[in-house]
Amino acid sequence: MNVSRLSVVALRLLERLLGGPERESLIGDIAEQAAHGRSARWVWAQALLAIAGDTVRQTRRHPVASLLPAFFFGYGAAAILGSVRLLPGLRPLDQIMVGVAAGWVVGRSGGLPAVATFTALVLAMRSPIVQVPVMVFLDHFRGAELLASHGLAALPYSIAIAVVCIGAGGLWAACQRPVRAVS
Amino acid sequence: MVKRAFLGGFELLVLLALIRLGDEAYGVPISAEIERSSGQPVALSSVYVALGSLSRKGLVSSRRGEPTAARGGRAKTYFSVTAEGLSEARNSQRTLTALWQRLPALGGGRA
Repeated sequence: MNVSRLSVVALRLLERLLGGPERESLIGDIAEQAAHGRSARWVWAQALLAIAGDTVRQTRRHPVASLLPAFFFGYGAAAILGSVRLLPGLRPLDQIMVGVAAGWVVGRSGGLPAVATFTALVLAMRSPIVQVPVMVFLDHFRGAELLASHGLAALPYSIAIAVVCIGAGGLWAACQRPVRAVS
Repeated sequence: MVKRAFLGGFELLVLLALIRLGDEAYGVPISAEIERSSGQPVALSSVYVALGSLSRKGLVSSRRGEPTAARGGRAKTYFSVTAEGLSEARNSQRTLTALWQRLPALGGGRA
């Protein structure tokens, strides 16, 4: 039986964000139920409950290691969206936080290969051949102006810092990723 | 004095469902069994959390099955109750029955 696209998205999300020893069995169970005709709503509810529960358990087990990335992620996202106005002297700190946040998100969601890809993308963004068409494309959308001015435009100025931070974030996420236990 | 940890309410439900289902039980039938008995929807993830807790206490054991296409190539984990698990279920039954028998009649639907 076919699985709806919405359910497939939920399963992909689970694969990326769920940890814990029961990860494979749980995703398999939800996939099996989706294949047997369970609604996308049911699949999404199961996926979100599983991710929320796993996040709470991880936070309770490792509060500092869990809350720091969350802080960086929140701060980084806010900085990218332009809602945080930094003092001029804190600009390097802003970039470090954006870099760490990007590294954490990329590392958490895709592992080291994704970190390498993202790093390559950031490096490529430094090249005008890539940067100019991207900025021209983004200029077509009013909503993308903030992203371009606060996020993408900020990263190329401190490539070295961003690359180091992204690498550190990726390594951290890779170390945090639980081993798929076979019981 | 030997200290014995009591089972949580949901852990007991999972343990009882597992006893009813036998050795070929995995997440889906366990949650379906609890849903049938309680009439409430059950999150699969909470079943696995309870199974993990029961496993750490030595009350259930698990083994990996073969990956199947219907599960996107993922293997099932089959659970079964250990001798300690059966003993713990009997203890819980004794405790609950004793407490229940000493309760005054619950009539009228109000405390």
